[in-house]
Amino acid sequence: MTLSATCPRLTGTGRATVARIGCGLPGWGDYALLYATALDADGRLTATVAATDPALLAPDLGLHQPLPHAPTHGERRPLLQYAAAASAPQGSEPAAAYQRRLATQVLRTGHAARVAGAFAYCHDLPAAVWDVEDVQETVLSTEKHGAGYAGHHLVRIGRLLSVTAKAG
Amino acid sequence: MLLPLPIDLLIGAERAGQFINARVRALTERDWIPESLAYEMVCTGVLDGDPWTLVDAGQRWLPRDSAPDEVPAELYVVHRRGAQVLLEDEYGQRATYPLAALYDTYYLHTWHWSHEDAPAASGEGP
Repeated sequence: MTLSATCPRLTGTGRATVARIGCGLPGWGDYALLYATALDADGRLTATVAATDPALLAPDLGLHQPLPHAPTHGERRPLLQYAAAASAPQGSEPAAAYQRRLATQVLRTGHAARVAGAFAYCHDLPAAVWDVEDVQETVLSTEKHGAGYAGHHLVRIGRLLSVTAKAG
Repeated sequence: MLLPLPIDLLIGAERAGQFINARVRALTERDWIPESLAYEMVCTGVLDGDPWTLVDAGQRWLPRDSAPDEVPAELYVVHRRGAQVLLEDEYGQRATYPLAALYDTYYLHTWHWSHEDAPAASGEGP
């Protein structure tokens, strides 16, 4: 079974949650993070989590203001690089399991923004269009445990290029 | 007989139920997750001491035995906003962290309940 794959770029439409997320690690800034989900052709749940420096996105998304008690600069390094910096492999953890764990942590960060409800640094866009590049796909489902966190089969993690809210 | 959940010992069974139901409602109303799966996710999170599930204002988290020596000796939750949490360390210094920062490093030790209690059910009030 292929655990991960990469694809260069994808465009998505539909409901999206955008939030400003601090990394909480010395030397790391804040991300503007997008979280969206969709069902694939087989009815399996797929999440897209993508991030970039908030300054690179349109100001009308409301993510340019720094978080309180957090660094003021944006972060441009890949999300999975941050996840790896925040969480090292545990003992003899197999590479595939480690990658699934990192992808799940990124997924859970996006999902926590989704279920938090709107506030100053987090907005739910009922209809939006987004572009993502450098996408890494990780299959979260396993034969032993079934679907991954919150029923997700797959998570796509990449660099957010743009997100635009559309009129409902 | 139902066994007490770990958070029952910190805030009591009624508040624990109120907390769990609020978390389940957030999952079902904001992410359209089926109620049965939402309950499973929340209860698993509670039993695992999962910060994404548990973190709430008024809590004190302490380092696990396996935590690195250099991490703060205690963290107080000032407030939670989505995937972010504003924490105060033992010296009163505040910083915003992602919830992931607590995962596998800290455990929930004390919880000063900061919400209004749900009204008692009819016939069961004081």
